[in-house]
Amino acid sequence: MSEINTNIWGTSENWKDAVNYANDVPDKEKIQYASVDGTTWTMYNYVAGGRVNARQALDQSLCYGALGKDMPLSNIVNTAGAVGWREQEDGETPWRSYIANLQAESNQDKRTITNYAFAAWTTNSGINKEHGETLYMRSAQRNDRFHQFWYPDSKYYDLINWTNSEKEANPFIKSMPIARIPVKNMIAYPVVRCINDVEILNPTEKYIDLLNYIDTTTQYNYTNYPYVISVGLVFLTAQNGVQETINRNLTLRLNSCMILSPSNMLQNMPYYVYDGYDKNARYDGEAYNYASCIGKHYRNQVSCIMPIMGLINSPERNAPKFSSVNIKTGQSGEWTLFDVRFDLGTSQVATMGGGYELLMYSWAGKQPEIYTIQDSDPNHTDSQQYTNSTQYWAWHITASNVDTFREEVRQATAGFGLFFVEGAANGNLALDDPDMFLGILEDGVGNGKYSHGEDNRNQPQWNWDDMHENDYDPSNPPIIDPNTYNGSMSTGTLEWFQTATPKYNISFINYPKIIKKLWDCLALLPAGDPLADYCLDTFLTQNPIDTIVSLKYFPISEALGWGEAVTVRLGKFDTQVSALKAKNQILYDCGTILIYPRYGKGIATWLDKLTTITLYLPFCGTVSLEADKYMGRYVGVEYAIDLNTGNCSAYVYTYADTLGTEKLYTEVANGTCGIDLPVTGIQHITLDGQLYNATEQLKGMRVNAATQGISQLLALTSAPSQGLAGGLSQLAQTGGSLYNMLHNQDIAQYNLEHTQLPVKMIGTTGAATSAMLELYPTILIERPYTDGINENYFAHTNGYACCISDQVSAFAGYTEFANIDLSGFNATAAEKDMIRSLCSGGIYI
Amino acid sequence: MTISFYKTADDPKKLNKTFTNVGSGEATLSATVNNTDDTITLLSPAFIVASNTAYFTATHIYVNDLGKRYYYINNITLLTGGKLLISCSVDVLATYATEISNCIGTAMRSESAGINKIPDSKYPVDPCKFVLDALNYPRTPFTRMPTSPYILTTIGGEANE
Repeated sequence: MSEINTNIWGTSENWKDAVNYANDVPDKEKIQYASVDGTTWTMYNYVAGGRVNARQALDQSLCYGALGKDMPLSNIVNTAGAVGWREQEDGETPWRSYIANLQAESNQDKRTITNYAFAAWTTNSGINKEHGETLYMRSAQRNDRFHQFWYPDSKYYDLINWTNSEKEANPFIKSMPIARIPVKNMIAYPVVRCINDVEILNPTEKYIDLLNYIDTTTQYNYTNYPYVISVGLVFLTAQNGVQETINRNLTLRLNSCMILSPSNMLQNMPYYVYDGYDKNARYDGEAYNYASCIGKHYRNQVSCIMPIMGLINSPERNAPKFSSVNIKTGQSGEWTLFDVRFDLGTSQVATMGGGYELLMYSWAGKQPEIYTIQDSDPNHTDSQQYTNSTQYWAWHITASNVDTFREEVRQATAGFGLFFVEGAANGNLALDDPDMFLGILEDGVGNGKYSHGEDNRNQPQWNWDDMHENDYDPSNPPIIDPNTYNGSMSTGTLEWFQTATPKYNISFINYPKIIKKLWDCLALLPAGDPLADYCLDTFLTQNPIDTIVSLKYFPISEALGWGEAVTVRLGKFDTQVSALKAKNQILYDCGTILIYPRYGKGIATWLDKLTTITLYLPFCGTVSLEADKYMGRYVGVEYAIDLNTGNCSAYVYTYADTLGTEKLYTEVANGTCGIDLPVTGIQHITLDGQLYNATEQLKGMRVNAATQGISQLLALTSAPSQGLAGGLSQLAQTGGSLYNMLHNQDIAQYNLEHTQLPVKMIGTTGAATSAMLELYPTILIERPYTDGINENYFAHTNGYACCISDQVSAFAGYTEFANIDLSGFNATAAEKDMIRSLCSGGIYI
Repeated sequence: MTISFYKTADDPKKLNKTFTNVGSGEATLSATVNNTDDTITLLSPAFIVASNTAYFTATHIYVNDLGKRYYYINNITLLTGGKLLISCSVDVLATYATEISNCIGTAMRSESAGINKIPDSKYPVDPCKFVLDALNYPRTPFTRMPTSPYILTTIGGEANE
């Protein structure tokens, strides 16, 4: 248990004895006050009085505990900013003024640890009093009578004088931190502040404990009050009595949870600096109360709860009134955005000061968008009524998310490390009852985990007298993993994806019609029109087959088309063949399979890790899955198919451990499932070229033949001495070229007459072989063979390898011990050696 | 001193043995073992007791006067005069069964605890034989009989959305 820091609280000689405590309470449990020099110490006094140094870590005795980074109060969204000050007319006395220049701030840097202390303000009238009277509680004891005490001091109302508050320090900062809370005599339960409607003027507001709120058989619950503004805590305690007859009949309504590290200027290092009378003071330098209850001055008011999530703070005397105009201004999933309006009367402005008007909220780590409060008029006078507004997100609870809500409330409550129940009806349960919960502290920090029932006995708080036995020291906080492991992955098709080339989904019935149309198009050629011009005009290309970019076959059962039926157009040519517009991408989830640890009957063992797992993915090949990673997990397969290219990707996923419903994609395999089909059609431009060339060649041949022929004949007749024979022989000698000429001419004629219709091929047959293999993703598992082993005999004569430390009696059957501590009984050294040797070699227990 | 004779069928390595009493008798410590020069010790004593055929089925003796110890009967020598020489050695497991049960130890092999938790080199997994199985996923997007499988991409016409 930490010692009382006398530098802060003063020495015990100055502590007053309380009055009205039971005579049978031992001296050590006397109620005491820390009232040093007759001054009641407040957070403000500590610094002003030099008892706490500014900008140093807050003393452990002032800090009740620590909240982890995922707790709502560690993620406060601050919608208000500095307080403006205006001097009084005398120019000397600062006048605590009004809301000015409030701006939205967000907690950009999440604190890994948030230090806090509870502060009491309004409590049950049976034992606590206010407005000038002494507030005290009696101490708690274990295994004996139950009392409560706040230690050291909880006398603070004396100084609050509302009629003269302008002379005082900000009463808001007078909240006294409760550093010691009797663990077993302060049971928390959450209360939900909710409204019934967001579409009507002046909705009805209720405060319902969690147990009733989730119960649809109660009069008021989430079905008729579905919009949650905030959740807070109320505490139950027993005034006296022994544990067996515990009767926690006193309700404690703490007003606030003081966040002792208000800004991120010193990460995890709370400090308190307050220049209360400096008109330039900024809130980012001050530790101040982040949470206050609503309706502070109403004792036993059901609305007085210590907010821990949702709307944290509000104007001191006036709860934020939900705007009477356009209450609901937005919706995002489960979250409803609506107006919150501040109404501050004239007198209230004068007495309150701007310190309260800090609208903050946090929803279990969810940080919706923040809205700025309108700037106020800096020239506002106190005689003027001030009204301003901002917006705020409320949580809409329905049957689909009520279980999530319940769990998050439990976690937010558990962060304080206290015993808690879900409603007042469970207030008298035993501390190890199944419906009694206890927040788990990790290195003294609450992260929202909790135990219940008999498991509570295993927590250190079970043996604590008060919460200050928590070893957490704000000056030496544990190193916290700053990461929140809530990442997830997802898949999705591309939106607004358009290609410049139209795609048609054609059935197998209409497919042959399209093929035939490719050959029919030339029949449409009007007589006399040049083929080239016709093709260009109709098909947008001189080559009709160029209108076809690709033809693919997809062996997919899902619909590839969508919308109304259309007809296939090749360029401008309407084939009149019916088709659908084709989709661009398809996503398909093939489901999951559990990789079941066979040898451990559900729990992975070393034998399961010898398993080889291969995942066959149609069209994408195989993927090896490591047994270490996937044993005991659900493994899913999702296909993404691109209908433009025919490519497909198989995504292998499993589920995250932290967020059990979030998919994590761990493997990707790629392949092609679209089968290219070859298409032939008239290669028109080639045809034209061939015809042209053939014609020109023939022309050329004829001209040449005629010219050369005449010259040859002239050559022949020019040599009469040679006579006809000579002429013939010359002709014969020259006949090769003449022959060739005539022959080439014939060839050219032949070519022209026999120009073949050129065809063009688009696409090649491919990927069809993959379609002939298995089409279902399949897991192939190869396991070690153990069927030949008699497990019972093996276990009885060898035992299984293990490394477990326990009492010998905890084991059964054949057991070998690496070491055994033979303390505690008398035997000779030789006998103990014998025992140790026997145990090492194996004994039967 | 009185010694009690017991028999048990339990393995000598068993911690909590089940004994059946077969008799008891007055015995004296023998100064030697088998009349040899071997001296007796607390952990390996020898007793001379009047003969009783029931003793021949015993496996253990219990001697309260020697620190409440159980002893294995190693040998019985028939002496003249109707006497038996019982040669023994201490059974530490039987003697200190309760105390050992309360001790804390680290087990490296156990019949009952931690089964298959850590790799076991003694576990006779068949090195040559494996079991091969297959699991099909419940759904697939693929089929060999699609009704509308063709995607024709052209130029002209209207772009797909």
